[in-house]
Amino acid sequence: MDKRKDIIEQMPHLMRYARALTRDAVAADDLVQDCVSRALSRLHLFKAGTNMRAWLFTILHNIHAQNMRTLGRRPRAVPLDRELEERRGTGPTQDAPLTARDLQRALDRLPDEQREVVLLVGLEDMTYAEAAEVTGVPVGTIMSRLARGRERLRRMMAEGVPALRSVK
Amino acid sequence: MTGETGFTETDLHAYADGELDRATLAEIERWLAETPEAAAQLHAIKLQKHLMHEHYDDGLEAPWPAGVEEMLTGEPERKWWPGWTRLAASVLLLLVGGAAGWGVTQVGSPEQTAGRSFVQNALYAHAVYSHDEQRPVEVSIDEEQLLVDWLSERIGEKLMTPDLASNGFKLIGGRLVSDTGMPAAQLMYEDVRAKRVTLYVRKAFEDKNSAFRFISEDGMVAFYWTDGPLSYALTGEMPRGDLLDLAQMVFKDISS
Repeated sequence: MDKRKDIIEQMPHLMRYARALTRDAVAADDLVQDCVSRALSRLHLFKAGTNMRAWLFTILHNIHAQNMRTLGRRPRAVPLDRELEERRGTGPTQDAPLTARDLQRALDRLPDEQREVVLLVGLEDMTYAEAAEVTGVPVGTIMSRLARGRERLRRMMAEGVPALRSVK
Repeated sequence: MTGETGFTETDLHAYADGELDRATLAEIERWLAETPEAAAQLHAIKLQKHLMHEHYDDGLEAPWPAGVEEMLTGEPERKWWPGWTRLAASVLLLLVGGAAGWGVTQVGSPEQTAGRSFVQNALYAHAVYSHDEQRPVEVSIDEEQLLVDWLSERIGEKLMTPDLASNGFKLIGGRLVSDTGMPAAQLMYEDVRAKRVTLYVRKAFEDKNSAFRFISEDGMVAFYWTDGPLSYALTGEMPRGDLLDLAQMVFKDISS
């Protein structure tokens, strides 16, 4: 039961990360559901004393990657409320302070591999080693993706994020 | 941006992410003080992190997907398959019905229906009274004896008032509410930031003790269970982990 308790403790983080990763609450729910089912079915494989958080995030990541492969890189659905806001043209004016929305719009335009690392480290406070475990790449790769991702974000936010282009 | 000290952009990120060892910290801080360009970049990284939290932290409190709660808090000996199968069924129901929702979705035994109606009433009562500025309670804690005697008499069982002080919540009073025609007691707790949780209690709707069950609706979360002659529902607006701690506290206090 203790392992389940450890999973319960991680649930808020899984929910937050899944939402950030998928950009869609419904897809995030599916992802977390799948992740928890898979984790429970493999609970015996989890070694006591190792990192439950990294283990769960790894599972979540693998399922997400698998989904992306199966679904192909089809254009993602923009959530309606966001689309409405963007249609209303409530974009920030040049000299307005940077807001969370600017950040989110810029994040949306990062390549997935950079966005994941920026989120794992910046939002989920993972160490580079944990992020490497979760994404299955070496720590050096984590560091370079992080640096490139953050630099791109900084530039996009400084120069203003281009308005959302319709996906062909 | 390699300076004379040999620091690179990578070090800057490592610094922002707490990845550097102590010895390097002092050196890089000196470098930052002398290198405005690096300091500006550090500021940008911190701002990104801050905005990311601002934008995504709501997700921490997002209601869990259907069935997950049950999968995680079901009896320990229960295999995961049955839970998963029911989950699949409930997902299917959701798809078919096109309904938006989560929590306890399947139509079940009379007991499940009774439980559903019980917790629904608890949620309603919480929604109505916990935000009432004028008169959140009928009898305040200043008259604790009266509160306990009166509510115990009305619900027909000895009502306990669990102590949640160690979790920062203090009892401010209670009221009598009607649970589909049956008397129920609502005890209200408040923390220093005036955040409120309510404990809703009435004669048990089922004739055996139960595990915690969970529901989430309209930003409210509730755990409900039956212990002996009474059924309880603890409702609040907070991350479910926090509410679970409180529910366990209530359970412990009542059964001790």
